[in-house]
Amino acid sequence: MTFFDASSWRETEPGRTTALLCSLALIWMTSPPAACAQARWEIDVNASRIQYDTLASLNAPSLSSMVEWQSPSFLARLNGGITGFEGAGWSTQGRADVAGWLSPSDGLGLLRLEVAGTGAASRHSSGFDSFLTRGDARVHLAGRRVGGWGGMGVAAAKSSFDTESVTGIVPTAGLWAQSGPLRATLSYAHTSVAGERYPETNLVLASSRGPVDVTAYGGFRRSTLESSTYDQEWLGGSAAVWVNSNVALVLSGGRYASDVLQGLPGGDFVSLGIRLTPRRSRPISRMEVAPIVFSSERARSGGISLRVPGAERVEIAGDWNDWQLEPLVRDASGDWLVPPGLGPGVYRFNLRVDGERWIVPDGVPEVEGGYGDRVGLLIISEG
Amino acid sequence: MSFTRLPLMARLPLTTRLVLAGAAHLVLATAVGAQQPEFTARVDAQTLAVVQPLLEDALRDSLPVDALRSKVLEGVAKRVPAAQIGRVVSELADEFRAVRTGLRERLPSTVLADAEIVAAAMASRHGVALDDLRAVWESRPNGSSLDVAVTVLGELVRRGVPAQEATEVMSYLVQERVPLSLAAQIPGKFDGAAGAGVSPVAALTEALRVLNIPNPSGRRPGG
Repeated sequence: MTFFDASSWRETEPGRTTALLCSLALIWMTSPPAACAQARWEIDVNASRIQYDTLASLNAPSLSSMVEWQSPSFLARLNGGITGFEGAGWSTQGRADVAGWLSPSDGLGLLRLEVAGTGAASRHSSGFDSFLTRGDARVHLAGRRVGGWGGMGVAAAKSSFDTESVTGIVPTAGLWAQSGPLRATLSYAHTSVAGERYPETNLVLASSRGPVDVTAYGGFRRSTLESSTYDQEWLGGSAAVWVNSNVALVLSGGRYASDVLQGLPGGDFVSLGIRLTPRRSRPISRMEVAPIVFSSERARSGGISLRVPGAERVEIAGDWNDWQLEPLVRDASGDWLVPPGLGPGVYRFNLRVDGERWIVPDGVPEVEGGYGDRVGLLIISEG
Repeated sequence: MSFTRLPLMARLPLTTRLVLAGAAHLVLATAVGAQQPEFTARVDAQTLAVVQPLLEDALRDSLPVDALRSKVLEGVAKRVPAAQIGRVVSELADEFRAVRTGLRERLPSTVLADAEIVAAAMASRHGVALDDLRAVWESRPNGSSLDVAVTVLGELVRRGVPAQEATEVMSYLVQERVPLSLAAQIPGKFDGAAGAGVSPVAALTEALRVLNIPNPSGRRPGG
């Protein structure tokens, strides 16, 4: 078994564009499963400027695609891309992630067991190849708004430079919390490679509001070595502004971390791109626990209430009132009461919170609205 | 103007054709505005100019115009630019048209209510195939509206239940006249079971068991 030194990547580091993707994906994969099924397909066209730690800055246009299927108990995702480097050839990258969740018993409803696997490969036009495989087993405790996990991963990496693969043991743990549209994930990984340890901490904040999806991340690593090129801090973020449900402008930048297992260098980057998709999708909140299906009697008597945490003022507009905003009043428990009088049927609606943002409250079935947002469905049954 | 009318029109003198065409346009424009006078009062002139022809086309094609109007008013309420409102309404009309055409091909003698076309279009967005929708319609004894049932079907599929399983269940419920107030609780009970980590099919089975609804596929919980 050998271990890479970062200096060995001086000749080939232009092929390392997947480092940021890999680290963010790891954090993302440790999130709890979705409450319902969702498929995604996205194509990104980017123009980037990258400053690798051991190389002068260069321009790097790229084309990448992502296909994903996510359900309450299973996730599969494929990433692929090609990147050109100013005066340094081009590279292709591919990555596949699968994960499955199960609950050991109905009596332990908060407990989930997760098994996940990853395979990744890249090839530079110079003939350089690198591969990574990783398997993880994790135990999750997932509540409605907070949760955490702990687990163990085993990874192996190999490149054209070495005849033997590099293997590492990666215990991980983390916490997440969700408040309204904001989700925070704090994770810790204690990577052990060749007798040395590289503990690192990451924090990711993600939010989706209206036409804007924002992600910010930061972290640091301190190894047990006296001096290591892998001891570093990183900070960055991205914002996707959806022009419509098919097209978004994506701006990202910051510093991303080096990769201990693959021996990839860190770097600074700024990137501007366009994201194309058949239909915009958002992370599915696992707080989505039930559709609002009410009896007509309850609807007529004003017994429908909606929960909007943190709202000072809530208005409702929908099919039944020609989308004219009506202020809602609170009930004793702090939920917001829908005006009485709705008859049986299916109604599309939104809430406007504090006079500025349009939302679909948690727990309500929803569909793509067309205006870069989603609309909720109020289903009123007969009898 | 539909193709079936062209031969008759072609036999008429040009001036007569122009007058008739103008009259037809006037009638449609009046119909679009007259059915909801508040509509034109609430929509700005720029948006109205964009959506009026679309609504006239929809009216001519007997699409669910109220749903399209509602989408316009939603856009106005959200201060969406006129061009975008026009594009969204046009796409929605195309969706309605495609679903209705597909269902008509499969159910030539069935009259589809506007609310049912809208519900079918939403279910279609969630991945319910037209043949699955046909199965639900074919199971309807007579007359009852299917908009709630089809919406629940779409919601089940969105939450991970395979379309075939969900269609079997909803068709059974419609056929057996299970009260929709009971049927509509299925997604909620389904989530409760799915939240415990079981597969979507097993969660659906468990939801049916909890609601004391016979399972048409005969699977037992966990099966």
